[in-house]
Amino acid sequence: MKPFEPQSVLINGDQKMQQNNEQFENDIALPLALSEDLKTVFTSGIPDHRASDLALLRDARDHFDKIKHRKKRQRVQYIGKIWAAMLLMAIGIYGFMTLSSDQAGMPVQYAMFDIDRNGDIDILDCMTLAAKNDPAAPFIEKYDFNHDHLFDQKDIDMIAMSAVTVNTRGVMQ
Amino acid sequence: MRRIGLVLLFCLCSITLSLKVAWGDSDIQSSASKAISFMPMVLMIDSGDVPLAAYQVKISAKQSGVKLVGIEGGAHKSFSDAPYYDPTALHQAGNATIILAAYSLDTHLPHGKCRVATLHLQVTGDAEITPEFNIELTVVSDHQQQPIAATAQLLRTK
Repeated sequence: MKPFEPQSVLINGDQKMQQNNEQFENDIALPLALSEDLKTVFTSGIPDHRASDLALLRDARDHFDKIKHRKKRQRVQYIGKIWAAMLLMAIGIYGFMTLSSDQAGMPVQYAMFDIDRNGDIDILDCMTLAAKNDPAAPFIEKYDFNHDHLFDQKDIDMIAMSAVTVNTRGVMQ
Repeated sequence: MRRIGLVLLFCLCSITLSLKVAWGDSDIQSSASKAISFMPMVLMIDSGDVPLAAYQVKISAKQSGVKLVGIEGGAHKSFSDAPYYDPTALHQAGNATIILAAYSLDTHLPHGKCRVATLHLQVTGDAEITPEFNIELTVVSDHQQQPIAATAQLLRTK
């Protein structure tokens, strides 16, 4: 035998109100205005928050998008700073290596002439450069000391003149 | 009084004349001692058995009155052109100092005692006395730019 289950337990509030409405419609023929008023009174009192929820969701998404973009921008800035620091370090190391120890006090022009990097400008630098002076070889800009867009005997002669100039840094005193 | 004046004037003229004569003699003597002569000297480098490919030498006169007036190349084909030198070092007053340098990429390089350059000097003073020089060989190398043991000297030629 099926146990007794009261209807009021099984139905929720809306169903109950709908049931009540049907009851009003079925019971007696009420005046239309009263019926409408009663329907209005017994419609669901729960407010519709869907629109505000959607707006809230949209705002939240916008907010998180902004945060996401800001983080991305910060990451790009961070990487840029790291690259800049590394570039500066590389330039510093290169400069230090170029003007190392013996050449520290040597003027830039004379440091350029020290082809064999032995700290002195002498005839061996000319010899080293002359051995590289092959007309068939591609143009080497760093050896174009007189800036005539040619690497030739004139550039070698410049080093030689620096080597034999008396009382010049880079040659024996 | 007038006679005394004439005697004093005569003495003064005599002294002046004698001084003039003496001064003139000294001028003649000093010009004789400051006679200018020209002499060539050759720079010899002895690299022994190793072929000489490059050298750089600093030459400075030990005494004043020596002036460098010209530089020429050497005897061997590899160093026949005049070496590199600073033209402003020529005609220098006082003690002459110059740096000479040359290299060769030839395959046939000189070895042993070789004349690599000739210096033309203007010497003020006794032409019979050969001027002395400090010679500092700073670079002497073979064709692989390896330093070699070598000696350098300046010799007077006719």
